[in-house]
Amino acid sequence: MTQYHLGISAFYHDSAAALVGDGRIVAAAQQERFSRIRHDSGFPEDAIRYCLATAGIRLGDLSTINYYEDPKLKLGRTLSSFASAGPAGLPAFRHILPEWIRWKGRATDVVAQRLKAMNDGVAVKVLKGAHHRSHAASAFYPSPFERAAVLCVDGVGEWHTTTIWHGKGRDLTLANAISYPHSLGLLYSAFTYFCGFKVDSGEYKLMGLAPYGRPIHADKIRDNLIELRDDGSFSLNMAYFGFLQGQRMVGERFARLFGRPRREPESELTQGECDLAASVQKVTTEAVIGLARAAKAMTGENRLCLAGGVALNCVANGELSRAGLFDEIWIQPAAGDAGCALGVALDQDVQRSGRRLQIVPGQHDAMRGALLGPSYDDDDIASFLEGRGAPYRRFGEDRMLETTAEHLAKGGVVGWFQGRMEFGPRSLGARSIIGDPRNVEMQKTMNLKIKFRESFRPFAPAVLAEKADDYFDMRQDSPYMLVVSPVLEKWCRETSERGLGSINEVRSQLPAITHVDNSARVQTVHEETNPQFHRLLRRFEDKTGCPVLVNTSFNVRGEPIVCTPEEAYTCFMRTNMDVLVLGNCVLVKNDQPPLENDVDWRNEIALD
Amino acid sequence: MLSLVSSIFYILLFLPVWAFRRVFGVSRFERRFHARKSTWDSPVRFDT
Repeated sequence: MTQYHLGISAFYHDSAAALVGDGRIVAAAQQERFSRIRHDSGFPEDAIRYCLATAGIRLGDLSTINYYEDPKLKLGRTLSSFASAGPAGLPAFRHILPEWIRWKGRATDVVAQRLKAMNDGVAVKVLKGAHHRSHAASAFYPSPFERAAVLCVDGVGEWHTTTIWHGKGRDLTLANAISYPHSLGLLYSAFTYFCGFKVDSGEYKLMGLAPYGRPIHADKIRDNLIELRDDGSFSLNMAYFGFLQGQRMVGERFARLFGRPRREPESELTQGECDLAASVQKVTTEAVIGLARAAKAMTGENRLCLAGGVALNCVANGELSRAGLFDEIWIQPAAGDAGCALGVALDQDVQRSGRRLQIVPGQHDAMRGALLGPSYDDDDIASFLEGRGAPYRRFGEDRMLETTAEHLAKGGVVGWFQGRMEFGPRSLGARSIIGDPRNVEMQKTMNLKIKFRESFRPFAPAVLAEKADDYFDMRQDSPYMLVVSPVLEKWCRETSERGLGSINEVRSQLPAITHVDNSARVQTVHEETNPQFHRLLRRFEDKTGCPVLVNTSFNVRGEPIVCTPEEAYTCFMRTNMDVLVLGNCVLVKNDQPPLENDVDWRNEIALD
Repeated sequence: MLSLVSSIFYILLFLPVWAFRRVFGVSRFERRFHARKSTWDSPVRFDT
């Protein structure tokens, strides 16, 4: 009988559920995709129901139920943190301690209560995991490596902010750690906050802004804010940070150091923010490489697995890859806390079964392309469209691909909805908005008319894996869009500047995906892992000679990536996309009737 | 009520601990920790 293990992350940010059984990942999904609340931190009931339904089981059929971290250890850290906060910590403490007493300190009991309230059978006792071990398990166990160094870097778990593990077969052993408050993730979040973006969701915007700036403050950061040591360890000078006091990331001293106040959210970005972004990016990259060097020295391994929120920093990952410290690097696509749900379930499965995950023949790892969410067949889709009175054409796959490729080649922007939804923050060709990267207007059009987001933000390419080296300087495969690589010089053009004023300059023959520093966050698409998206890329290449497409997430700014055909249709109708492809059903915008009874969605969806 | 109890707890227990840590620099939150040669939780001995 299959032993199923459920993993749950909840209550802080990016709640998720994941189900593992019989040596494979059965299902995984973030709660936000169901609740439509971005980075939803609530109990992931919908995600849990989805996971159980995928396996055709009930709660009572689970062998283990696992919460991703230890709430009591986390409470200990919170209290210790406030014990160094001084008088300024009192206002936050008055609100935070009652919350911990009421429920946070016994989060596993709360999970048990919420599971019981689901009325889906009698569940086993909820076990607690450990935050960084959950990250480490999510990074090592699905990787293709029999042995590896595992590096996990985030804001903070219970106490650990950075951990190095040694993975060997089924064993995963902690080699060393750096503990709170000394945190690379919190350093990056502090700058995210200071540049006027939201903490825990705006970090990748800071990363995207960095190439527009110059790292003129890097020395100041190293001299004042973070001490990077030769052994790879680091510490923060807490005199500049405000997060101990629980209300702000940084204090007045931080602002005085840079001679400027914090940027007001949504106010105009200046070159100053770009330079700050470039500076902290440079120092963060140095720190990550130092940690990776330490991981190699501590474990003696030539392969590296990465997880933790900082592992979503694709620029640092790209530099790490080019540093040549390791022969291969594998990064968990859901490297943030959602991935902890997967990790804690995987840990149980591996320890109890005594074996690693199966890798599907032809695939490189056990993540199944991170395509672990719900899918909808053509009959479901057609039924929805009929119900909405939405004109569409239903084709066989070949004609659908041909039609889609034609629209793309003519400059159309296409909403592409296929198969199982991705797990993790990136769209990988299941819930994607795609377009022609050669089109000089594509970046501007997509940012302003479709995503409704800041115009500086670059778009990322999906490329046939076998053709990636023709376009990008790839040191390793990048199936999950987590490594930034340079666009090859032969495609690039001379440009005059790199500041914010150069946003609309045409930098290469693939202008929509070439960032201001001629880099790109590449997704290599493999036939074995994502066959249909691969076929679409091939068809586009047949028509245009270009095996690359813009691939951006199927959502507008502030909204989670779409999950259902209805959400995809609504997003399509609210934006300036030209075509929507739902399975084998193709919809053209000009044929559609106006969206009825729509809400004032731009006011309803909070900006991220 | 819990909020009031938390405040009292903070003033009577946390502030003295904070003061002690500040004066003697004995915790990982203080400047003395920041000045250490290494901040790994376990000592390391390798050349990187």
